[in-house]
Amino acid sequence: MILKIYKRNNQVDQHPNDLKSVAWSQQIELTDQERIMMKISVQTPSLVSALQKVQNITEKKSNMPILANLLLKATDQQVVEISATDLELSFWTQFTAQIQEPGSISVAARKLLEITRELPQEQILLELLPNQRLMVLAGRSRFELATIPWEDYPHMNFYQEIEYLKCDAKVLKSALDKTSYGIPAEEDPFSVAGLLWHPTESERLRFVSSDGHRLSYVEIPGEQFNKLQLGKGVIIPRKGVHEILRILEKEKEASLGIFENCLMLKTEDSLLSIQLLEAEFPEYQMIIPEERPFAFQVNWENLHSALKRMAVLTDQKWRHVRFIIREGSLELEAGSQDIGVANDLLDIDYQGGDFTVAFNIRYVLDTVQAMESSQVRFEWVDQFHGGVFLAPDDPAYFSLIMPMVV
Amino acid sequence: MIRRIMHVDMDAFYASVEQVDHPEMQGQPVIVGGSTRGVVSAASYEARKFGIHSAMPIFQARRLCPHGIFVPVNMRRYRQVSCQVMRIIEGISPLVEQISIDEAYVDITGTESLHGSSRELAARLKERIRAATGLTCSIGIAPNKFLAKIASDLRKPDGLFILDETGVQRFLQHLPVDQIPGIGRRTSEILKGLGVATASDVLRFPLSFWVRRLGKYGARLHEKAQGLDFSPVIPDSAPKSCSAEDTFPKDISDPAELRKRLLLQAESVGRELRRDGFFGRTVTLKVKFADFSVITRSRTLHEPTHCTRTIFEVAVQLLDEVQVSRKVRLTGVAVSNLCSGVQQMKLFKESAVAKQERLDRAMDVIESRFGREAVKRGILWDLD
Repeated sequence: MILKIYKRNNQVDQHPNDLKSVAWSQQIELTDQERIMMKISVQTPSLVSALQKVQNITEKKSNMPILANLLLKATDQQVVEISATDLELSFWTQFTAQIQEPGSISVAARKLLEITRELPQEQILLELLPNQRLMVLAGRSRFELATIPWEDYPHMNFYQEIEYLKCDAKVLKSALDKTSYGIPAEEDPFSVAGLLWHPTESERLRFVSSDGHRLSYVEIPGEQFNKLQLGKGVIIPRKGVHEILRILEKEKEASLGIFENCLMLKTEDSLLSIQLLEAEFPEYQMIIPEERPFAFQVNWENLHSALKRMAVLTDQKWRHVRFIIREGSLELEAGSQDIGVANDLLDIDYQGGDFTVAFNIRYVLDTVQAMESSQVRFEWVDQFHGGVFLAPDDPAYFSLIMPMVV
Repeated sequence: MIRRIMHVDMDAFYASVEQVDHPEMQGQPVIVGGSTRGVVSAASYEARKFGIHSAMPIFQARRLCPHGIFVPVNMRRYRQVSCQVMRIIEGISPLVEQISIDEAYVDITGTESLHGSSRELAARLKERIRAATGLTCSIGIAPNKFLAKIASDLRKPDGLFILDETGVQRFLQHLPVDQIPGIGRRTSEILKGLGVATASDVLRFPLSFWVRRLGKYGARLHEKAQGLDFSPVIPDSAPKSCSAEDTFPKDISDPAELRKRLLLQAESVGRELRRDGFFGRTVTLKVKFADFSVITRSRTLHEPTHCTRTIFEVAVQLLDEVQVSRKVRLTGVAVSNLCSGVQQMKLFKESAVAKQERLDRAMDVIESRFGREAVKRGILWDLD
């Protein structure tokens, strides 16, 4: 989508008499022949809702101040477009409004939201003044916000015209929910701060996350998405994954498209453009132990509630839960000298030698909570290999967690 | 409740250990310190008569006492003895807070029925330490840590001073204000200018005055002047960092030479961390230049480490970022942000890291059996 330039040679405007801005704007001497003008009247709820959608994209702590801004554009089709970018993610949305003068301007996203949220009026007037301030006017309240010319706002790619594939928002959301927790906040040599999405040999699609300590993936049927140009696979950055999740929360249907290095998510009134990560995802298949000679199954509810009890006695320093596996029983143990200890005993269907292993309790809880299953299956090799957590009722889900050495 | 806090302070610790280990040094001025340069780490009481005190440059000590016995620091031995002493102290109360290699606070509140009076307990403790190590210590007993520390200093060496609740007021009236721990030269001058000579004199001015004058420390000073200190004895505080530093025999400007020194220090820090089962996430480099100006730089890693190579590499990175253009007198490497015990295993292990871990383990084993000199890293071969 290309942003059009709205520059007009305007005469001195006469403000409609019903607006209180008359007195102020008439005090300003207008000498510029060529002025960028914008004047719109919007429904407050539409504006607030649009502004809320872009807040996550704008950067609060960037060293580029303009990234705290959004781009506001009034078209002559009675539509207001709001977009923002952090240079990796870009978001665009639109809503209808009464446009008296089309135009574009960049203004602080947070401030504009905070102001409009506090206004009780149904209607707000936005006007770009000749002094390049954006006036926000409602009832007897008046704000003038500093602006930056729209030309200075970073370029955004919203590929409207590419091929979009409709997808079931529920399926996509569920796949992201089951894997997004394992994406690390920061990159390091052995983990990528994004979610790998790649086609498998059996023509399914797999989402994989790993923070270097644990790995989880989930597969979805290929038919919905296999027209997407995934190639060998794409990596969606962490913030992008969370943004998709946020959007899918409210939508039943969404469309996906890939163009060059961008993943696009399109809904009825919005577009999200995500710059894919150009990183090398570790060769994760190599570290999944194929032969896992030992296993047991345990009731999901029992394990989940016992883990939550154990977690009470873990902290930043003592974060492990010990699995003490014996014939027919799984004993959980957590805590330390500092805080105290916790034990719990669960029945399992296991016949074999004793085995003890410890895991970060957060990792186990994340995995168990991600499963949709009445049972949890745990498979292992020894204490030097990762333990595998499977969901018998949800065979598409896989989780591998490396133990802790206690 | 009135607390009884004991402060145990070993007398001229390093020097006394040397005297016990080398009977021929008994009664002689013994000065423990770095090599040709560096500073005095400890001086025996005989050496102190010549005006030698710790932190004094060695060359100055040599001038004051040319016939003194100068011995290098043998930290390993001192640590060994220190452990012995601390075990004995821990025998009297579980509430022992070791504050340095040769000092500890003990909360002995309510132990009278078990140990008898404070005087008996102190005498018995001194005797036990003497019997086990041949060393003397000085003990102060008072209602709080701050007073106990002052008290232990009053009758050094081999002293004992017990300050009762009832004697505190009188004690403070005569206590020179600069003996309050935490008062440095600058504060001391301010106090002198105000005509404050004893601890009690501080109370001539209201709290607000001191806060205005000295900030947060002013409030603490006002409290201490009333003999108040509520800080508890915190037992068994885990170490917060592990470090090594050296003042070089000669100032160094050659970057390759500096790297070698850093490697030695990284080795020492790594060895100590591994020995005590710690991992650290923050590596700090300290550089003191020939003009005595000091800079420190730190970096926090993704994963805690105790690998010599990793510590060294981060220290070198930090050094490179400093862009040393002047001569360097001292460098130091420290690892902090320590954790111990439970370690998360990784999915992917770089073979290079695994190799370094094996190397560290192998070197630790060789060194523990055959001594430090038995094995050296290649780039250190020509270093004395």
